[in-house]
Amino acid sequence: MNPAESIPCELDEDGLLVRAACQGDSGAFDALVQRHADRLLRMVRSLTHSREDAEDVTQEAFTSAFFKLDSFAGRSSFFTWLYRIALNKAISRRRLRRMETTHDGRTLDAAPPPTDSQPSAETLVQRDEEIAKLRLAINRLEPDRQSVLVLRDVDGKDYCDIADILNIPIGTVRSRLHRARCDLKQILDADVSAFKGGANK
Amino acid sequence: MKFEESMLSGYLDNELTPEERVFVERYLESNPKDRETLRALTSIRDNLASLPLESFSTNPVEAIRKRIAQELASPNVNGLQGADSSHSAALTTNARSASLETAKSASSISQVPLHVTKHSARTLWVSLAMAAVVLLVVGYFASPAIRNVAVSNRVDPPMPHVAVVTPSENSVANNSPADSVAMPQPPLADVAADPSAFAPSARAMKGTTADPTFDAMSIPGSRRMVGQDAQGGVGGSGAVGELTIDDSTLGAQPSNAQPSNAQPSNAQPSNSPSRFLVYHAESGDWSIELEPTSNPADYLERSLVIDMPTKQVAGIIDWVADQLHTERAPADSYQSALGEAPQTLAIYVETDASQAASLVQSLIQISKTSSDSSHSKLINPSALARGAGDQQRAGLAASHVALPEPTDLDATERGAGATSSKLAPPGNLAMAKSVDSPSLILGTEIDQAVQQGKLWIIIRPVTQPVTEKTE
Repeated sequence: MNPAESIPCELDEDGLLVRAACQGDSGAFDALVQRHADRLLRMVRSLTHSREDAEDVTQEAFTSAFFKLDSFAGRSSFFTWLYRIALNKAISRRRLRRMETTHDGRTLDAAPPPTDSQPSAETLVQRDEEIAKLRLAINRLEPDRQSVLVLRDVDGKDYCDIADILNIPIGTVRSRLHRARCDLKQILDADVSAFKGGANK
Repeated sequence: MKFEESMLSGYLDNELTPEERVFVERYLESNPKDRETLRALTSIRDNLASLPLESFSTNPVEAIRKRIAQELASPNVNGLQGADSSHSAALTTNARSASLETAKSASSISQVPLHVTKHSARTLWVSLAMAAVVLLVVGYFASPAIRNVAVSNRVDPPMPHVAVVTPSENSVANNSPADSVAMPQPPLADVAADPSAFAPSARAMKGTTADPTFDAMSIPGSRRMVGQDAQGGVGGSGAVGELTIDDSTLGAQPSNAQPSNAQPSNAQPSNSPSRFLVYHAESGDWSIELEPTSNPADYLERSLVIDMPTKQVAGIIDWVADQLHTERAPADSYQSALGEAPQTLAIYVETDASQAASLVQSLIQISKTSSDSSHSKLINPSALARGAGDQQRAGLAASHVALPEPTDLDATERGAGATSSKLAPPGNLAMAKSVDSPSLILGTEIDQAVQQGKLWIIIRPVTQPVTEKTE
């Protein structure tokens, strides 16, 4: 079957690009990359341990998508399909990283990148630390809860979209999201307590 | 209406019905603790939303172009990490061809000379496939011993084996050691090199059919590592749907077994109830079935059995899903399939021969690379060689999949007799000594399963590492 034929008649812009890519239109896949790379990176960044991993997973997801383009059935949006691929890869990467490290120490590349201009160095460092802590906490969530949290609170998707992407009931989205937020709060609170405890000592 | 905590998140996200919203607001008026929780959740949500939008450090289009070009130039199209290049190249021939077709049509990666790479690669794979067929034929006729064994054991043309496995005690009793030694056959890669020779075709699972005999079996659960009597009966039978399989049918009891009524020490492979996670090749979706999809004999003998710590189960399912390029994230499928307690899970994959071969070979290959790692092993194929119990078989196995040296288990741990009257014992399920890391066991007819593209991957979660046997 011609992959292009499997795509429904009414196509959005992504659908048209996918069809064009399948038919050999130069630049169509590039356009898909340009349209979605940053957004996907942002979401994947919340699912991976480091920025380097996030870029790698994002590239990997696009590469897989390229090779599987003919299997894209168009039942969901291209980004949803792409996100599923990226999600699987991010989870696998995360597990791999967990096997490689037995502690929660930050990797060097997880550290905030140096900046040229520092309007307020102290504030900037503090903010970077908060972001790093938040990312670390997200990484410690259960994968199923983590996915829902990122989709909702990082990418701003509504429950219906999340249910569609993850193929779960809307009620499950709500309960997982709630658990994820509570877990995140617990992790962050525990970090604060540990910090205070260390400071007291 | 009853208050549920998750309503707070629903309220926060404006995802409640008007009635629910009013209900929650009234509830919060009288519950300061939950008001505080809501405030905390709001803060967390706002913090998450304020995470900076990062962008690529390099041009993503260029980076992805390069990556695609590398993939095309590499034999590891399907991500066979660490796989021997010639094997993986052959294994991925079909998938690669499909990818090349895609690449051809999606020639938008304009700055990468895909067309050159593509044609070169295609020529290379065709050459490899032809070479593999020639080697098969030459190898077959060059060795009378091989030919004789093959003729005596098989009516159909010789099929490549994935690995050498141990016959059960029953099998041993009926066959001389020489007969029971698996012949040195070409690696699985060669099947994929010319999959058409074995009539592969993509087939999607259209439905399930419960087999009435299945309830006579039980998964080799708690007995397996403590070596209970193969004839004894912890296993018993379970009702259809509970999917417990008599461990005797798996034919893998150590001969230095403990009494049949012995209880497991601390190894607790789950045994009930189990679920079947079915991959639908056509749609790329997964479904959970309560009953087996094919004959139990196939289930047992045409399977890979993976014993692994519970915490790694999700990882292996992810990995399998990734190999199959599933469109749907399987996480939720297996989560609900597994439920709260660890359960034996059978993944039924029906796909083409090439992909099935790729899957099996990758599992073996990963085990090879994992065994060299200081980290926990993903798969421990040495169990196969150990199960085979003799050096010759170990050597043969090693020649195909480069198994580690089988030195740490004695020969008494080879598979012992199976007693099921309903099924021929697979006779190949050697016991791993420890499940600190996963171990992989291949069914005797795994090669046939591969060529037919119908594959069972049985995952047996073990909650704790198994202690050494005392005897």
